[in-house]
Amino acid sequence: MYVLDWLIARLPYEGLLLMSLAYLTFDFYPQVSSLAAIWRNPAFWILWLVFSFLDLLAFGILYANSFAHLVVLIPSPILATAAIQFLATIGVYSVLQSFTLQFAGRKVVDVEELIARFRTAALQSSVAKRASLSRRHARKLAEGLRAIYHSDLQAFSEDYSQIMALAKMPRDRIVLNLDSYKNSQGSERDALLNELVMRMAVADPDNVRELLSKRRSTVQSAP
Amino acid sequence: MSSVSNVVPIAEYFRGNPQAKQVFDAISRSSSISGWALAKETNLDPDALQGLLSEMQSRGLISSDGPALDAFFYLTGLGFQYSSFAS
Repeated sequence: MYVLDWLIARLPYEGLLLMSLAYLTFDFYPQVSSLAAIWRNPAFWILWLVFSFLDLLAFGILYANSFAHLVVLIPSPILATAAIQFLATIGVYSVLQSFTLQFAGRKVVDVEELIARFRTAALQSSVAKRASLSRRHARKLAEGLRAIYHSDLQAFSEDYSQIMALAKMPRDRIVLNLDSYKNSQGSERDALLNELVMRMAVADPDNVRELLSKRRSTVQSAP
Repeated sequence: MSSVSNVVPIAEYFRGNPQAKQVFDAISRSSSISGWALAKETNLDPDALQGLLSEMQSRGLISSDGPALDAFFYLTGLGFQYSSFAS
């Protein structure tokens, strides 16, 4: 009983914050496709704070006025609390995403526009974060490739031609890139290899991962 | 300026330029994608693709983390506005 009392006492507000977080995450995910990019974006957390604050207000009003009636209809107090949390969250999001106050034919208060603008700004920051995470991932792949190609020009020529041909790079440009690399020396050669392996990694990360794994196993099985 | 007046010129631009719309949709679907991956996905000539990307960047629809096709491209706030308006 003690645990149940504790849960009922704690659940309303913490559960509400989680519900608000889940709602916003589901809202962002289809357009960002990365939880890391969403949750590492400060604008997302500012939006969550604003929605959570309003959610708490709505929940407080609903809880004070409806909990006693709901407990009669729903036997479990936890389920009744969850129902109020759900209604408060849906209510806040519906009202905020469509609230406009007009006076004499002019929009005096346009919360819908304000929320839409902040939401799109937060989405842009999240996809920019996603791009930065993708680049970091590509850099790791490129490091792996560089270690192998540094001493294997034949493998580099084959793989660069294959990956960049798939990415629609014209044949003459591929040949030009490879010739520049073959004719370079010293630090210029290193810099060029860095640039070209990074290009492969951003162009086709899935195929590059497979190639890398194949090349590594060839190197390991060599006598 | 309201969202509708922001997106109407974009809708007109895409109506007259279906290849740009194809590239925009590919970026929108993947959330962030490199120029070379876009060339592979849309099957467009890299030079033509680069021209389309530069034009969409100058219109404020997309942004990137670097130069040319080696960069990753993603939608801007205006791009998201158009995307939600069009759907």
